[in-house]
Amino acid sequence: MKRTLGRTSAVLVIAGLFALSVRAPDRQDSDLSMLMEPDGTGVWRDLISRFQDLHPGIRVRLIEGPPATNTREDMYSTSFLSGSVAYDVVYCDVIWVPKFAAAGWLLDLTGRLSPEDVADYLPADFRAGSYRDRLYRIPAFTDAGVLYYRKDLVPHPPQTFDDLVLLSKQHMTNDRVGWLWQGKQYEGLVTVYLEILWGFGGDWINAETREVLIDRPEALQALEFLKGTIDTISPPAVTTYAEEETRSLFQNGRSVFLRNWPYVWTLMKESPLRVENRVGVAPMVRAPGRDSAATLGGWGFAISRFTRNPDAAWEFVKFLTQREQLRQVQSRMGVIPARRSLVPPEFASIFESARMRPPIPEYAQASDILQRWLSSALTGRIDPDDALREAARETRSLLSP
Amino acid sequence: MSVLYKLFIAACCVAALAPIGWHAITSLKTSSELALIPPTLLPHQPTVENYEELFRRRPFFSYYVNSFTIAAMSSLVCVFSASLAAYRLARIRGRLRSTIRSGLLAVAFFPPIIYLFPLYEMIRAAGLVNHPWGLILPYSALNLPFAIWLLTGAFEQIPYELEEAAAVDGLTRFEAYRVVILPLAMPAMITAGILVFIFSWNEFMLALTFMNIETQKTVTVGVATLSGAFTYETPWGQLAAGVIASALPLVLLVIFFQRKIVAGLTAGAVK
Amino acid sequence: MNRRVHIDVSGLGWFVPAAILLLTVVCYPMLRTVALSFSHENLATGFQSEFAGFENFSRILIDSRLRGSLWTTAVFTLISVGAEFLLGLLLAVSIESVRRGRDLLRVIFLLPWTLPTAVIAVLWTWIFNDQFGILNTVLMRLHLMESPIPWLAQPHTAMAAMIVADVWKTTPFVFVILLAGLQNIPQDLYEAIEIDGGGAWAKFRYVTWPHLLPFVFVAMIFRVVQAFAIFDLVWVMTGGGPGGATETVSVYTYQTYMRYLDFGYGSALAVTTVVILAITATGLYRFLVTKYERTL
Repeated sequence: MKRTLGRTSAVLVIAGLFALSVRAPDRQDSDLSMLMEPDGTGVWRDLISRFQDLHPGIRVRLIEGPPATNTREDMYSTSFLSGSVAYDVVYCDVIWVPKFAAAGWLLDLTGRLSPEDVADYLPADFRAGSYRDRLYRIPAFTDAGVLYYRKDLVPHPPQTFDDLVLLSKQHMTNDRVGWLWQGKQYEGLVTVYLEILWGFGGDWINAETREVLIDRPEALQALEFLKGTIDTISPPAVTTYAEEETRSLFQNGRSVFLRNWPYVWTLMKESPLRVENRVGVAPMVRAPGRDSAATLGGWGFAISRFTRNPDAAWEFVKFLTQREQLRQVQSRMGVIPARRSLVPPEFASIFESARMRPPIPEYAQASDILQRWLSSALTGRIDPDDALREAARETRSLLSP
Repeated sequence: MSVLYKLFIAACCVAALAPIGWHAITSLKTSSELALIPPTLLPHQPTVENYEELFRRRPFFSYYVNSFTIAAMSSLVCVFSASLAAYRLARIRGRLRSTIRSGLLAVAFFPPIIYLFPLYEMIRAAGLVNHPWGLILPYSALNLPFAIWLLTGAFEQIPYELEEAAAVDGLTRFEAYRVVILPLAMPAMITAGILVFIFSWNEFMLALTFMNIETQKTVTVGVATLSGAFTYETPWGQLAAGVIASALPLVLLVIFFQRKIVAGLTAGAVK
Repeated sequence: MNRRVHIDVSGLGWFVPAAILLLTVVCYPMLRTVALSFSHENLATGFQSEFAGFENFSRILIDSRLRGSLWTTAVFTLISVGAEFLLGLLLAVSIESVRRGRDLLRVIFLLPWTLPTAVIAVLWTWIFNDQFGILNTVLMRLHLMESPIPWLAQPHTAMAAMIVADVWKTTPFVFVILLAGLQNIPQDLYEAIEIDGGGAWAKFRYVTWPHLLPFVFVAMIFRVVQAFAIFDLVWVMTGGGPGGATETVSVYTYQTYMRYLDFGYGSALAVTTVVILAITATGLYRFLVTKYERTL
């Protein structure tokens, strides 16, 4: 009796387990999902709410992911690789486009925008949303590296690298360094380096020919320039700084110059430096006879190829990229929309000439290679010369087949 | 001398329990208390809000169901297959048996990264990504070498005469196995089952790669990938709650089955 | 007798479920990984498989990141396994002097081992947190240091933190196995040493250690292989950072597959790892066997 009872319950448990294990995945109760950075200000939740009011049939779910961009990129990659519909709309970084598009994960959005709309977008951002002449990402926010300077100390911003060094040395004190930039080993370092590199007239990778140019003389000049600032006009700890550390220091008056992104300008609105009109914004410095360069950043919206609701997704993307919505995000988060009509005048010319990082599908890997070698050279572990040579060798090996 | 040993043991007990205890304490603190530097020792106003947040923000209950289902089914499938194979293996005479046994163990030594990607391709082709069986089948297979190793040892202990007696009684080989042998091997099978359950519950790499829909994730992956809604701060209170919540079932397992667990681990060593 | 012949022939049926599982989940994927290692399959090929011969492997020869991660993995394995064995041995020897409460002790010591490594990584990340971590607080209270150490933000301390977490988790495993070995030793051997006038060290050297060797052997091979393949701990605790300083070879390979989508090269990395591991494990095996034979 006991044995049959034991046996029956065992069978029931196993049957129950089996039933649980074959149940269909919980039905998604929304039509569209989007993976985002953490919505600290709540603006995205508000926009979604507004969208749902306007389109009662569509439900949108906001998935707040980690703040780290790379991690979200990997979450998208893993999801797309499996062909699952975890995310319908992609909040897409500018450097993800070639990879996702080449992998065939994004819907082709070419031709969906009207010509006036297209004209309203900044050219670089628009190009950055395309891959092989097809449009995959509608730009939303733009970003480009700029030079902040203390107007009260330096009435006219420096134009060349030498000017920057000279003026830094003139106005440095015990409490104030000359120039702050992001030297930590991460994507930010690449964006800084590229501005110097392009400022010397050099380049990293030719996306058309897949040629690697990082072991040319200009690249070495650029790296040596950066290295030369460490412990002279920049603090030794600069190789551990990302955006926030440098912003914080500059806002507290601890530096004459700062290379950072436009968001700092907005966040500084209440700070004494800005209120008293003691800080200005200028294009990055360059070599004499060369053009100033700013690395293009920014975010936009793309649509997953695996979505079950492509029309709803397109409506959502159209809504989010309208002027009114972009303006809302701009006012609450300080990011700058990619529409010409919404760009603050002080940044207009800089954005018009912002330069893309090489739009190759293997960008993530190429960037990791460059980051590692730049960091090794900047921290003194290896000569800049050798670092660039090794970086070039590994990158060629990556891009050759 | 013996005093020194006892002190050492006491120190190790503290070392083993203190980290977990600290997380239990952390999980009961409010977020404002957590922001204090230096940290307080005991919570001033103990609260369960971290646990509430955990179950609200994340489908933690789903994580539990997933983990439990997957680990239990893997355990069943694995032990079922292993016991059949181990029994047969135990009845092979001579050196062939130890050779196969060692060969199986060699399989267990391959780092999982060597079969991750093709396995992913196969699971994807079978449409089992984000499905419990997408993990149950791999877990059952990956734990087979260990389970077979364990059970072969157990079956070897059972004298061959029992089957001969059963054969004389007119039972087929399989009936003999089911009625006579299996009950005797049941303790070992339970041990194997518990260990496979633990290994499946704790597995990370495959679970991370194969489950990307939130509601399908396992507890282990869920806790490890917990992220906050704060741009610069991590929600440590919730993370601590997650650690405790994910550890609880395992703690219970250890408390009830510690002897078996130890027996299972040492069975391999005591050749 | 007829029946026995009949039974032996159908003997292979018993292996079928296990064989199906092993062949599909283990054997086929391993072979496919090897095949992939000789192909290009990535974004540039549009995820089509193209034969590449040894190109992936010649790229491996100049891959400094692989060399770095191999070194990191080796250092991690060496220090971790060494610490675990010391602690595990001490613990096993110590527990002999405890008569009562063995059950409770077993539960306490098993606990770290039964927790998922990924969760343990989260656990120790909190303890090693520079501002709120209890470790820094305690060390500063004891005046052993003046300012908080940013454990996970510096290469050497991040490695140390990872090793501490790993040792915490796996010492119980070593302890359990060595204890089983200790309990197997006949008491009269110790008495023989006492009669000859030997003390604790002599007992250890001539009785305990030789008998423990096979167990050390087994546990060590297991642990070296596991430590070499470590993924969960690194992924969750440091992500391979800071700046790749704690990146182990599994993490690099996983990144190559899932982030760079370079499946051919990732497979070549996996194959290389396994080959190196096999050579190391075989070497270790041979070394331990000769050592064992010498102490007999």
